[in-house]
Amino acid sequence: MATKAKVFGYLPNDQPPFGQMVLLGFQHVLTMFPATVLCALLMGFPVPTVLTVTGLGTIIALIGSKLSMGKFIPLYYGSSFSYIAAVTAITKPTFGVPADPHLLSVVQAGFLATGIINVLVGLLIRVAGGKKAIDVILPASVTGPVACTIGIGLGAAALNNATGITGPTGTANWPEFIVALLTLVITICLSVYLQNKGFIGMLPILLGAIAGYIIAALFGLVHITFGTFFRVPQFTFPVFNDPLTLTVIFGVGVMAIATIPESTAHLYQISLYVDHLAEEQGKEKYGLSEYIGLNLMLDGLDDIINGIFGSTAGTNYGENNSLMVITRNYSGPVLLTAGVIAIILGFVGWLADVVNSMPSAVAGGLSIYLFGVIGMQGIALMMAEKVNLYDPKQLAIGAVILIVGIGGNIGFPGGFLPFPVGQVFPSGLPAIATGAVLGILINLIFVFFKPSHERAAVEKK
Amino acid sequence: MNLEGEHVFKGPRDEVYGMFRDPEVLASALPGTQSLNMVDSNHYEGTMNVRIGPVSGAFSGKLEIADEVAPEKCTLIVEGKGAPGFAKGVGHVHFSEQEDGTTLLKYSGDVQIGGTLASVGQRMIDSVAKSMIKTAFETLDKALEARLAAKAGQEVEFKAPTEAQFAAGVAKDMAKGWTQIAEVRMVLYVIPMAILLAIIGFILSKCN
Repeated sequence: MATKAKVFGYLPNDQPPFGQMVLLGFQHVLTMFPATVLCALLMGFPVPTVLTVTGLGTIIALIGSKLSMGKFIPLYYGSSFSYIAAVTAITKPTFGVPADPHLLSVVQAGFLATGIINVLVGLLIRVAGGKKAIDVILPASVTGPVACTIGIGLGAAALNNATGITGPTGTANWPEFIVALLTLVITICLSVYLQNKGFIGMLPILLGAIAGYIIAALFGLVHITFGTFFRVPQFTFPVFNDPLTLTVIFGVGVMAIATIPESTAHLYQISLYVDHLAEEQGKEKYGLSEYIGLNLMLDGLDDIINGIFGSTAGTNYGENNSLMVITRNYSGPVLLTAGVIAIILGFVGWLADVVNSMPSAVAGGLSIYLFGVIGMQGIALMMAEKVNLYDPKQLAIGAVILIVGIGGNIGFPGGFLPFPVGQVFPSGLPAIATGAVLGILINLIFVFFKPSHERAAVEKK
Repeated sequence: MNLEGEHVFKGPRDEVYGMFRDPEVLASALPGTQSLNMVDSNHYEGTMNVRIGPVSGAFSGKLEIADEVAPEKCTLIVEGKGAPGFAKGVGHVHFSEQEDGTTLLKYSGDVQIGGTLASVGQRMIDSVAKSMIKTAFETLDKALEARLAAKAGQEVEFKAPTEAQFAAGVAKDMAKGWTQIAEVRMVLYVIPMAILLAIIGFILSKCN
């Protein structure tokens, strides 16, 4: 035996003992839980179904990476916030009340579309020569503003929940608004002050939600009834014969362009840390960042699974990445265990009862923060990629995406631009997707007809 | 691209090294080599036809042998360019005598490729390179056998494989390696899995 001190941590192909697998797996579930549940509630999808199916999706994606590459890509696939705006335009949910199963089925066709787009882009990357190809078609000057749109476009929804009104003429209900405000402030404080405080520092949203829930109970806003303890989740299956099907396939499908850069960024991040641990342990590096295409194909497969069984389109979770980085546990088998735990939790009826009783004001408070952060992350992306915001072509791309996307989503009923196109888009064009596509097209003009002059960025003196 | 590996030659080290330094033998080990001229004892220049899958074309290049400690080790520095792209590489070759009279060759090196050659896919090139090295060793084995036999006064016919035979060998190896490519395996996983789940979903939806 080598006497070198063992560097503690688990690499993707390592399997901890059973007891640890369960505990560490549960920790993963706890980490993905707040965002995934909130997504389900906001989009009108039944929480138990979403837990069970995302667990299944994670397991199938992990097995896929192991079978094809011989090593796990350690990622947990939860529900993606990127789809909320596009989906709520169709499901029009009341917070915490599952939407009409038929509408869910219509939206699921869109999730299948987004999954297929992911798989195709994954293949295309392999053929077209890696990340460079994505960077040409989907540069940060497009994906940044799209992320902004997805987040800020939900601003009105967040405020409606927070103020307890649903229409433009109503007035705020004070108890609701106070609960929302307290939830917001508590969550912000938790996320700021609990940073780097270990595992608890990763759960500000969950803790904020619990605090908000208790406050709401004091205001008498919580109404809870327990059904049977054990319940089989409701599975809904996609339909393709609805008048809105094409709208959904376009509106929801296009959202893949928001998750593709996100998913790729997560892969790069986790690859860096996994290789770092491998180096410290003196083992062979994993080199996961090489597999951008495969990662997207797995992401797509996960979306397809969610689309088939009635859950929300997913993405790999940055939250779980952070957890893995902090705990240095990148074990694939632990993530598989987490998937199994999530599947089982979906069958626990009481859990759903508690989650569903969360007052919309609490979710509203959380949403102001979370949706805003999505928007801010779009700006962060542009800063990180050093998008030249003094160059008129970059400005033009962002300007069009933001106005069409945010303006259209907030300004028009259901977020549909008022241009109904016959049988294809009977309610009008979905604003966010249309904005994104316009942005891509404008960018392509500049790719094919390169301007002779490019204004230099102004350096800060 | 990193290349690393070893090979056991059934012969004494001096013979193996001598063969290795014989430009004619070396040229025969990499078929497609059309010429290999000695500039001086450590520098060679030559041209080579490469035909791998969709990429083919003539390469012209230089080979330098440096840091030579005969018959123990040397460093090969290769630089080539041609229509299919360019390749640059440094390889360290180490020969060690083994107790049973055989010679262990260990090599490690780093090769950089560019142009069409690279766009074919780094990992495809990887398996091609490994296959080329394998075939080259097989040829060198035969050459060594012929050399040793000639010394013992026997005639053993040594014929270097032709370019076509070589390409066929590589192609065969590649086909075997085809299902080893992660992307192919992924497609073979994703599509049947999606279809299977769709069928399960369809059946369940009919049951409701």
